[in-house]
Amino acid sequence: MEVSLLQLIGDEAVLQAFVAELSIASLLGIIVVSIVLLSKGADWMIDGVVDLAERTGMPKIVIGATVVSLGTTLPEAFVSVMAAFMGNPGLALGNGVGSIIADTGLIFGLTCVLAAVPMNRFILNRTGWVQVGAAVLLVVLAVIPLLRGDPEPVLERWVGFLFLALLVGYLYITYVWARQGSVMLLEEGEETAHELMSIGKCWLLVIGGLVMILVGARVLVPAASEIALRLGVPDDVIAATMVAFGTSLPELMTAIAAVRKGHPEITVGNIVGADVLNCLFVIGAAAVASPLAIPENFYYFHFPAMLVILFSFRVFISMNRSGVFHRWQGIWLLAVYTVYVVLGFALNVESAHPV
Amino acid sequence: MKILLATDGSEYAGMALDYLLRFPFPEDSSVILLTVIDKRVFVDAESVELTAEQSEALHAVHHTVREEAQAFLDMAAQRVGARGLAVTVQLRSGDVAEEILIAAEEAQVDLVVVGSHGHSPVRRFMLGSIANRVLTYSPYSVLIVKQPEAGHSLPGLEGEPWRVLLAYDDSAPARKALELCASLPLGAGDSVEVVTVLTLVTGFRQDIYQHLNPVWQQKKIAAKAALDGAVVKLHGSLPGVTSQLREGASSSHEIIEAAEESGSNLVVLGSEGKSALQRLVQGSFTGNVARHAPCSVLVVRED
Repeated sequence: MEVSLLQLIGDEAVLQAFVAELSIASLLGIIVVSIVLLSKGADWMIDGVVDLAERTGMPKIVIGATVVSLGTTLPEAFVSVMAAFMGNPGLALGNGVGSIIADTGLIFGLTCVLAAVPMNRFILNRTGWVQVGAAVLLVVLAVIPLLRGDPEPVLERWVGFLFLALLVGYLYITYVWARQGSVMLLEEGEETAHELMSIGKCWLLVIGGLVMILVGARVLVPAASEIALRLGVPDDVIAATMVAFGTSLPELMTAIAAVRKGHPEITVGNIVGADVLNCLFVIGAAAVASPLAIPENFYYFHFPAMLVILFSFRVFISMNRSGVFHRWQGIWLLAVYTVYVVLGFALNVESAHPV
Repeated sequence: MKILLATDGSEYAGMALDYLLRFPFPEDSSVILLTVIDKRVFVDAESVELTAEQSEALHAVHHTVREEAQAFLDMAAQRVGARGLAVTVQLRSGDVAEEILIAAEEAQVDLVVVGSHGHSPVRRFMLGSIANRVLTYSPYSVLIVKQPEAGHSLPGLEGEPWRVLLAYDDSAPARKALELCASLPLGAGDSVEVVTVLTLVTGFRQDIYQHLNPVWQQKKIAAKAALDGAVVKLHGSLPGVTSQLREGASSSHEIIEAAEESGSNLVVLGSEGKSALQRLVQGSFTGNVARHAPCSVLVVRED
């Protein structure tokens, strides 16, 4: 059967069938191409964001928290909405919560260890509250049916609509803060070392880069999983590694490119934004598609882990009067994340991605 | 069973009639043969100023068309009668799909039969506007007859047994479709394959997660039990019943693939009666199977 490139990327069944028929050598070739797409895409996007920030006067952290985050959370949103539509709402909730934990604990933790991450306190103080607030709201709305004695607690459809409405509010208020913030402080006061691109070219790089990242992640995960399956790697190992990080790959690649190019503040923005969007956008849209059942282990394991990580992050924002995240804070986040993963395995808690 | 066959004397309609004559309907079935003269073909004599001559010519053409349609209907009625089914004929004029739906409602039929385009991948996609509209808006069950695949003759003829594929998900409409299958007087060489599809999210290989999860495994056990139950029900009345539990990202894709793999010549599926919103949200499964299946498709709707 002849298939077009567009079908390969857009049609799930075509992609699966295509990957299943390839030899290991071809799969390796695809993996290399995907990694090139991911890293080139992330580089271009960061270049675009940096110049866009300078051209418009918007802090990079804000562009990271809005445009970049909207793009990098698309895989989670796609998977969660599909799962909710197909009658697997647990997967939808797990994706949102699991991604918040992985993005903040692992990706931001790692970024903090690798680079001194400067923070725009004016913006971060505010968006940081939204980040924690959205997660707390999610937990409160999840606990209410439990307190009412509901044997099968769910996040109702109205919660989804509420979250989506809050999402619109978040994007608007971020824009307002960005305008105030950019007036109050000239960001980092850095000198422009190169000639700035036109705004049109900046947007082209940001959007084009995002598309490359998304396509790369979408193709890399099935190709890598296929090789692992053929080599006899057990399913649970594949699930805990490449599948678990699959939807967070865009955030990871963005973080790596941002650190490499010396703009780690984009990562802060991306992580804060991705956390808010995973809550309001991913879980919100999935709940609108179908009410989300909340498995028991979320109450005693996943929700607490998410809150510990997010409150740690929030406390660090308040603590860091020097305007930089410290390396030990990254180590703490990584440690909490590691404990979460190890404890999950040791206690045999189902991953945050149940059916 | 009360059946309405919409026919227009074309190749596709002829094929639908041939298919209908071979279809293993219950013995007490009756057939209404309907032809609709498309009003768009004729100029509305009252709205356009015509000379006496033009008007006369138009009437003459109209008369000829009606006569031809009536002759075709009578011939078709004879063939249906010879098959031993009670038959009546109706000749209407107006919007074709609309008149088919009105006639179906007036007669409170159980099934509407329409012909569709052929089997090549491109033509398979083209359901035909009439068949498509009838399928979308009919509250009654609809049988869309397609030309058999190359190398296959119409089922029901010698050497071409009925190979029915029943898409089953244990919902109320699917149980109705199961009942209908059980009531078909199929012969010894015929077969029925019951297929259940469990959908999972394959994007970013989330299916690997799902497979590991106990909730999914329970879901699979429940689906298997329902499928076995359906097979037991069919075994009582039909020979050659098999079953298949498939998993995939899209139910319609899996059903079409299953039909292709087993060379089915009829796909039967249940479908909810639909509001406009349901049509928008849920219509894709029925529509996709009807459009892309390599064979005729019977969409069973609840009363």
